[in-house]
Amino acid sequence: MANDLNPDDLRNLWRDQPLENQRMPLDEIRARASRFERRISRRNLREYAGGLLAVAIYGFSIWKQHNPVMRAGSAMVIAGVLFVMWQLYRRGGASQLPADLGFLASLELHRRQLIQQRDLLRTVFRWYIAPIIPGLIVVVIGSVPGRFELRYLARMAPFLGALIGTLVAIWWLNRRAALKLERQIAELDNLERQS
Amino acid sequence: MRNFAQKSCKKSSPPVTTLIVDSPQDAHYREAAAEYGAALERLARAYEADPDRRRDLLQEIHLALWRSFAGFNRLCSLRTWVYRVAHNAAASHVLRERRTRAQVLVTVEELESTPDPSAPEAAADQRQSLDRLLALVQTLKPLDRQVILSYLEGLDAAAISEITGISPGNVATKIHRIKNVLTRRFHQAGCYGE
Repeated sequence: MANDLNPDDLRNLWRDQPLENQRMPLDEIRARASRFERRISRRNLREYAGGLLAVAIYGFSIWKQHNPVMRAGSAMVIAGVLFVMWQLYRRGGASQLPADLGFLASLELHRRQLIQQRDLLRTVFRWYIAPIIPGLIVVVIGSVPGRFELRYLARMAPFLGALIGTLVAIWWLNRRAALKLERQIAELDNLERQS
Repeated sequence: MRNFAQKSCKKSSPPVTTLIVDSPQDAHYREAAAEYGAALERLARAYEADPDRRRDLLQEIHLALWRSFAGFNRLCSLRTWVYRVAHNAAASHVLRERRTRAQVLVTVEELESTPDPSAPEAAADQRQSLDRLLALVQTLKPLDRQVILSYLEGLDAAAISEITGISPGNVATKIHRIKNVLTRRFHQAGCYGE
């Protein structure tokens, strides 16, 4: 008979298979769930912490500086950072998929979320980098003393280099993440096509 | 149905007893774990071959289930809810693992048109038959894996359709193909089609 199993025998074989009877106590589940929630909160906090820090630094600069150009530049940077944070809040927030959706519906929703995230990363220059650039340029112009000297430019070079390097690195990392998402979307499409 | 747990407190005298009342979320979870715990373990086995990773997957499924019950609205049966949540958690696990382990998955249709790589006599006893069945299930893409597992668990086409979100007609076709594949792979060569 073992050599000659029909689908009904296999159903019985499947349901009667020996199990380890693994159970997970509720306390452990609650502990794991709260660890998960804490991780998500920390991640959300990290997303906004950089922005809040920039607002604090440039806010302090407006308060302390007497140079009107520097103050205007700092205000522009703050406006740019607030715009970026609003964009993060509006489009970014990684939402959880409803756990009880049917497989096809959850696949489709997951795919849409991935596309949204990919597009967000692809256009990072437009909504994350560009809004703060005008303010930074005005701050740099405002920091130049009345009579321009070459040695001043040399002193500023490392700062400007680090700033430009940071912006390019943000752009590059986001483009790389977008490519990774692109591959995940292609995998999902492959799954969906054959489902 | 509500569950009550008792905790006694030793510090004060006379001893104080506090009652911890299960929230609806906890109560639904307890009910689901009691009724479908074994099915969830079989499901984890079908999605993950490695014993350690399988244990992790089962914990992930239980966690997803408990979290999901915060929004359980009884619009579908407990069984449908449990299977949907468990399959979604397991399918996410498969997708994640595929990225690191480059596993090739196939559909029931592809299995149907592929000759069985193992000889029929390999199914010499029930343990081996079960291993072969598991190996076969583990090669399937998530949706087809959901259908075959639901079929093996004894669910009908309507219930499978509700869980997976594919039409009952499509489910019936898939079940027909699944039966074909199972019959061909677990019957002696000469018995096929009898």
